[in-house]
Amino acid sequence: MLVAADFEKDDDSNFHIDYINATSNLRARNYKITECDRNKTKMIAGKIIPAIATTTAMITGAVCAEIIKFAQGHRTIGKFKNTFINLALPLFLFSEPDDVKKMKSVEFDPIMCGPIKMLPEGFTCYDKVTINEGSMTFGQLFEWLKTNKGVEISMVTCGAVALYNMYLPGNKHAPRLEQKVEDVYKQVSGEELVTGRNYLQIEVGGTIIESGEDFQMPPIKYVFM
Amino acid sequence: MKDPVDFVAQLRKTATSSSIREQLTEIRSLIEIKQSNSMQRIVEIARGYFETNFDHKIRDLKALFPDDKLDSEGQPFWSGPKRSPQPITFSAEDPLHFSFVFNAANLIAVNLCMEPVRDEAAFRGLLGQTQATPYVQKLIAVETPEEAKAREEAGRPAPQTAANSDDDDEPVITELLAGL
Repeated sequence: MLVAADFEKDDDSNFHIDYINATSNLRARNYKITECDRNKTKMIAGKIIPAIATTTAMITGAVCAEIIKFAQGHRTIGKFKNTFINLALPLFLFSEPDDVKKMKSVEFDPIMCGPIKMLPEGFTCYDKVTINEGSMTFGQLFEWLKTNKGVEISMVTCGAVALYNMYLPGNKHAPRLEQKVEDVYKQVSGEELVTGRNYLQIEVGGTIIESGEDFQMPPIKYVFM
Repeated sequence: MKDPVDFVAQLRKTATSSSIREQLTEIRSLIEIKQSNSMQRIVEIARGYFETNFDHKIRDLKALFPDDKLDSEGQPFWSGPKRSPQPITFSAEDPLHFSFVFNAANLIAVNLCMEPVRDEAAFRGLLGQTQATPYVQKLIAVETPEEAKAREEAGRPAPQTAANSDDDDEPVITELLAGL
């Protein structure tokens, strides 16, 4: 089998830039032209245009100013600034950021046609639920959520991959209750787990056992080793 | 390559016989390496590329246009924007030479779904067993832009660039095709 190589400048282990660098420098040596280093080759061959000069530099400065305020211990939200810059207009706009959005339970959700409860009330996009109990089957995972959160799970997703769905005809996913979560992920997504990452971020849906209401909770960091 | 017959037909339309010969030779050597599955062979090829491109071709050019060659107006040929190139003799000790064969060989290996040799010491071992390709001078008929202009003004037809090699190429191409 032959495989054509697609040029990729950002992979330093694929020999591409190194080959171009060696070839062009040898030709330069033929003609006694000044040779250049690998980074210069990468810039030319990869058509990299340095653009640090203007906007990027300003954004970096603005972000650093915010980091310094944070490092000094300021926690009042009014002391921080959200910056909008458009050099073409030119416009420099500093505004006070909003508080982080808190999830609120509703009595009636028009999509679900019923109440949705937040677990816990007022969680934000920065929250997560960490499950650090080692590798688990779906059955064990559901048992953990039942004991610790009082919920019954009907659906599990990981990114765009549906891992478990109770409502499929004939309860097709029932055998998965006995399978490890990460194994099912590998099987369904057709991808290997990212090396060096020992967790999956999963989202669950279902009902609260006590009241039968639907719930929403932060994403789960499921640590499998 | 899905349709070899079609490929050769296409090649004949677009390329000269000497470049067809080069391409077919290239294809055959690729098949050979793949069959032998030998990294040693790839390293040899990579070294061959080095010698062809940075040594032999320069020598061919210099044989045609020596440093003291004068053009039709009596000016030195290598002047102004034209810089006279110098051939480079391969040396495994030179980091740049090594870098070329190392990366070229490993690129070919990846193309052929073979495991690249990332270890430089191991690669040096393979490289140590290769021989220099002997230099055989190739005579190519080249005309400079000035000569072409003068010829056109005189109303003479373009010289058959590959004329002398044409006769040599055809049997080789036939043989190569039969081999494939």
